[in-house]
Amino acid sequence: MFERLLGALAQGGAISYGDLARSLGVDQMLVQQMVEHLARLGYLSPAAGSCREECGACALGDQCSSGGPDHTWTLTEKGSRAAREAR
Amino acid sequence: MALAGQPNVGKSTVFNLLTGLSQHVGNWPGKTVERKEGTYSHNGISVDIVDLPGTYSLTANSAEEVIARDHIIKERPDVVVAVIDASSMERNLYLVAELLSLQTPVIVAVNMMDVADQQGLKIEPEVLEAALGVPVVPMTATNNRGIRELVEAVDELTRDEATYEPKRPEIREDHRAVLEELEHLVAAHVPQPYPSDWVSLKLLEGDDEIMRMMEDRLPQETWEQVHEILKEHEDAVLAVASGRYDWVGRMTRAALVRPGVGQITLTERLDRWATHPLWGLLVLAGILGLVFLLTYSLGAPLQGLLETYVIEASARLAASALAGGPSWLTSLIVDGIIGGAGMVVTFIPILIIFFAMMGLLEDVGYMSRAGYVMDRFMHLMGLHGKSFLPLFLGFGCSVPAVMGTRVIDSRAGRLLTTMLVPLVPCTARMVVLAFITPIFFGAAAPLVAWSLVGLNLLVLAVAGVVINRIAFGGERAAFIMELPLYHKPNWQTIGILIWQRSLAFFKRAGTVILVVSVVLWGLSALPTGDIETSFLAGAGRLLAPLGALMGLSWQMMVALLTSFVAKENAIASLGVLYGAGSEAGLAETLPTIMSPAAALSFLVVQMLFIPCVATVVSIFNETKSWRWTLFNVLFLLLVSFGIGILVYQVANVVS
Repeated sequence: MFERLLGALAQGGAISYGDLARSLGVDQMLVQQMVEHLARLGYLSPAAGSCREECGACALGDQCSSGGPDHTWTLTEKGSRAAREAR
Repeated sequence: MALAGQPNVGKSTVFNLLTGLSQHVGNWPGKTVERKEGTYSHNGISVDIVDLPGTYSLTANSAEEVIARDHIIKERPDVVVAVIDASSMERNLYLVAELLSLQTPVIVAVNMMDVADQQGLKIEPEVLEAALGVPVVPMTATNNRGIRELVEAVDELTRDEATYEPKRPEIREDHRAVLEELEHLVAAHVPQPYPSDWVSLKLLEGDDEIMRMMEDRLPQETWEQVHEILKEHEDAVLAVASGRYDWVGRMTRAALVRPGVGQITLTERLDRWATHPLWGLLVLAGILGLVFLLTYSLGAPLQGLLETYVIEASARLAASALAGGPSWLTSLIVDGIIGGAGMVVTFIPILIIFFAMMGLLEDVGYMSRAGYVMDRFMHLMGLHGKSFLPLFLGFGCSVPAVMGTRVIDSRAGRLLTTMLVPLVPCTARMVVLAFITPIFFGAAAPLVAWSLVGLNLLVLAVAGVVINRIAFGGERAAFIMELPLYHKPNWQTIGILIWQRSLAFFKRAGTVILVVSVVLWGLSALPTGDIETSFLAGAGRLLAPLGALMGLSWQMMVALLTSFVAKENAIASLGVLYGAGSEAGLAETLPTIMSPAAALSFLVVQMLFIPCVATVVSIFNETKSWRWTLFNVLFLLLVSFGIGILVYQVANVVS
């Protein structure tokens, strides 16, 4: 299941939980759980995670991401390597 | 008996129903984690229950997870009851998968059946029981339903363990041989009561605690062999977890029926259009059009009113108040501070309307869809869909657009987007465009203006491709985006958002513009007080040879230079330099001193020229790099003058 998820990510671009759920043939809830699991294992990281750190006292800090900093994930270096292998 | 489960699955309710008042609370030895124990009697047998801490898995990620697995392995309860939430069965079954890897028999208590029912989920306990190979008890603990059946199931299983044949998850096929090899190496050294297959699995998962335990117990040579295998298969954790998720997928497919097509949510219905590859873009284009229409139709007249009643009125007031004072002071206050920094005030309506629109779109949940559907187009430029958001903001003002690049995670993506922001025509550039095009091109003015905006976007696309290929190797990042449910806007949230964003803009941009306006005023007034002999005019004359290639006089070049303070300064500068005195006068003068080809070239350069100083400062603030800031300025100078010269030469030949 993980290798198929990573394989889908290896193609690059934006992909939603719904897209992944359809391509893996599972529910979005399970996709979300797998994504969080991959993040715990260091294969994914929150895409806008650095935003919070850099914003500091900036008034735009809390508004810095549409969709929320924790709602978009990207592959880490380790994740990219695994994704390439999965493809 | 041990009660296991994730947090918030109703485990405590089950525990309280079973034990009643026969329970006591303490701490797990050496930990601050609460330990609840109790007893109940059934058929004359007293059953001790331990309520294990809520955990999501049995990996040594937290004290709770270590406590739970240590208790099951070392205390060997007769049965583990895994309480799962029926309304989110997928999320709960992973823990069950891990529990089944241990030797203790498991009963699955599917709690919150009422919640699942309300959500239209149909769970078939018998099918799940057959799929899992372990007893399954449907429950609604809050209504005291299923407790008796659970007690019966525990009684039955502990009396007759022989019938217990769980269908355990397996490691992904490509790693089975590795697992066997590992187990073969460690089996003889695994301490009691740890199961050797479980220890081998945990080693492959890279479980720190088990690694330490086995390193202490294995002979040096064997440990080195184990270590070598683990190093070679460092991604084996994926194979282990993948096997469990495959298993979870199979279980849910077998026993869970989701609401049918007739119960598709509003979000799903809307997303069929909003995230469709083609319709999604048309929806986005329509929304963008609406945003522009409202921003210009509401904001532009208000901007004009502010200019007349705030800026011009303040200038008159200041001029009359300073009438008796030195003329340089009057000029500094009126031309430098009010005329320069004061222009920021006139942007208030446009910015507020723009922020309000963006805030509304964000709050209802649309913006993540906009980023999602734009991704394929942004991809052509090597940009993530999220770059669209700051670039979109650039149509209003480049400063918040540069600040908005923070939504992009990677430094490469942020830098690239920052470099491209000035190519998006901001409101101030559009104002200059709107003023000059009708003077030279009459009825064709809308077409010329539309073409110039199109040219900017074309240059933006080409520059994006080139910069990405050269600087960032053409990589395309992958993103998993959650598309939130659509919901009604919260006006208070939007109001706060507008206030915070506007305040940040005026704090940052306002202070910088004030300083630079004063400096520029100084250059135009020194050393003689006459602009014709000023340093600014000197600089303009230095640029005259370059201007000649585009048919532009030194005055036109100075106008471009002053647009560095604020784009709309270009018009005011032309008025002063040509002594027209008023905008209406300027409109009559310009066609007499400049050909349409030169005017077109001026507009092209103006649209692609370096951004205003506030934007340049923002670029430095965001990139924290003089090198990138300078690169951006030089790049835009090269592009604007290069295309300006080309357009002038071609237009001359054509005309």
